[in-house]
Amino acid sequence: MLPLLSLSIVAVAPPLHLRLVQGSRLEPGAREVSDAELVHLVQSGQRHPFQELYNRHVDRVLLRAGRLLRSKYEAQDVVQDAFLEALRDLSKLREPQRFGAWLDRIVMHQVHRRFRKRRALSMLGLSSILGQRTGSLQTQEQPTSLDQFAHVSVSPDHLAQLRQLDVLLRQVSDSERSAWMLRRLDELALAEIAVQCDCSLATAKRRIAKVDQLLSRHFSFVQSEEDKP
Amino acid sequence: MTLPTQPLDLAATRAQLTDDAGAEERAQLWARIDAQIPLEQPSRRSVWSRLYPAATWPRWVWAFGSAFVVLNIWFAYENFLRDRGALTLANGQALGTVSAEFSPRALRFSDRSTIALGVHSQLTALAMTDDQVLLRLERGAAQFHVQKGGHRRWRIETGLLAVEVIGTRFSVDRSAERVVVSVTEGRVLVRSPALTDGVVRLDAGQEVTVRAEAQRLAPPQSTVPLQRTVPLPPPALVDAPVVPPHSAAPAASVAPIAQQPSLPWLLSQADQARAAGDTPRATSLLKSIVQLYPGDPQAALSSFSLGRNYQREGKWTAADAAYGWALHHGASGSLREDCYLRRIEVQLHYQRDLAQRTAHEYLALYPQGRHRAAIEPMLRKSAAPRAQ
Repeated sequence: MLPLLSLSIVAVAPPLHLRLVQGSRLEPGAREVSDAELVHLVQSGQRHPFQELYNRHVDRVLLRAGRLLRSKYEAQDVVQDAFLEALRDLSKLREPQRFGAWLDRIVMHQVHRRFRKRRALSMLGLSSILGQRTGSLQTQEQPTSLDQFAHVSVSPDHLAQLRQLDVLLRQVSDSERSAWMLRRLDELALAEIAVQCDCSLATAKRRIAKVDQLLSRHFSFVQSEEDKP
Repeated sequence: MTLPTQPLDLAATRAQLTDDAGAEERAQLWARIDAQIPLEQPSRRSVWSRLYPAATWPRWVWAFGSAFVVLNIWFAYENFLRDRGALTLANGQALGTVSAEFSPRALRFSDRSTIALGVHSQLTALAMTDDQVLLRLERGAAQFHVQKGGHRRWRIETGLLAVEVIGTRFSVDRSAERVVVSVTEGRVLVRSPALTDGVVRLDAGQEVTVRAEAQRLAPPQSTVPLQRTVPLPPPALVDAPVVPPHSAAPAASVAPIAQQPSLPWLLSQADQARAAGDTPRATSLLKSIVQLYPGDPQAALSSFSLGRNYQREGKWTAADAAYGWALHHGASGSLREDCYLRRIEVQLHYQRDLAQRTAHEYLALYPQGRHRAAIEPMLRKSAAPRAQ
């Protein structure tokens, strides 16, 4: 009797992707579906699980891209392109359980592409074009400083410190700032930083150390042994 | 003075930064993404794109592919797009007749070829088509630099000869008496009725001269003076040795011995000229044999024949020298006796003392010689006083 009841429950229960509420996160109490399962569902041709993947990872990559690019508008463009690229290349993902890290790399790739585009336009004296197209830096939007990513409950003193930190980080290159932020703010491993920044481990360490050295002139900043080049 | 530093707590900083983008922003962004998600799922892509997705191609595939495309574009441009149509001057004008009377003049063409006209020179374009450039150097000298790799065949007419070329540097100097073609770089073909088989190939560093009056050709010469390895014959015989056109054949090289015509060829040509009654040409060829092959047994016979030609023309001293040269260069047997006889004959015409001495020498050497009967009357004649 019990097996029959179990079978009936399974038969009546909606499929996995129907248990995912469209446009929102999993219902409270629902079994946490792993990224790997969602990836398999997407690879099988279903579409709704991809939205769940989006909901799980969009905050992290959006804020990271925003901090690195110092522009919320550009961050949205980058994340949009990254998710579309991820959907297109999802069939090539060999480790579905590592979808998050894979998506991070795609986002970082897009971010570095933006950096290169900025440099190229800047060299040609066409920086304003980038701002007009994306509604960012030069025209519609002022650079988004680090304190604008803080919680609303953060005290004015801490906001001032974040602003000061942002001003200092403007003095270093994009690649150095990226490496430092990934290490100090996102606490990524050095090897992962090297992969995401498309550089060697030593280069990643050197970039982080350079920013640390700059910040140490203004902050009492403790450098760990692991970060020394 | 150092500014006081404030503590930076990274853990607190991380905690101060939000990790929530906000539901509204998240929804708006998803709407943008959702609008761009294609209806066709990745799994329905073409078989080819699934097997060979472009993003997975190694870099060398892209590099070779790009190089292949670039090479094809270049090939198409060079062969089908660039510089088609008739050749014109660099300014787009057609070339007609160009003169340089008082100062040199440079002509630049659309294919980057150039012509430098010397003073008192005149050049006329006879035909300028897609695949041919036909020019005539009316007078004077011109240096040509024909662009290599071009598809047009250049031909320069000078009256006495024509030069054909595809890509090289050379100069043509035309005067009323002769035309000189010298090649600086590359290779040209020179065509002229004065040449054997009508054509000669000139390589870099060689030149050819065609003379108007004699229609004869000086062989291709290296610009480097050549060391002669063949001793010259007595000056009396060498006034203007003729080297036949054969020496300008394609096999000619800058080595001096290779420029010499062969002895059999010279002998056969001399025989043909003599049979045809062309005595001057036969004389020239015989002199060349004597000059170029003095050690050969045939040289003595050639010198004897040369003396006979001079004797028929009444050139007594030249004939005497030719017979004497034959006697001193190995004439033997009946030929040697013939040389004595003919020498006495010509010496009687201009110096009887010499004739007497030669006759005594012959009689001493050949007491029973076959010309004794003919020479003894000559000896008496030479001893007799001249009629006043």
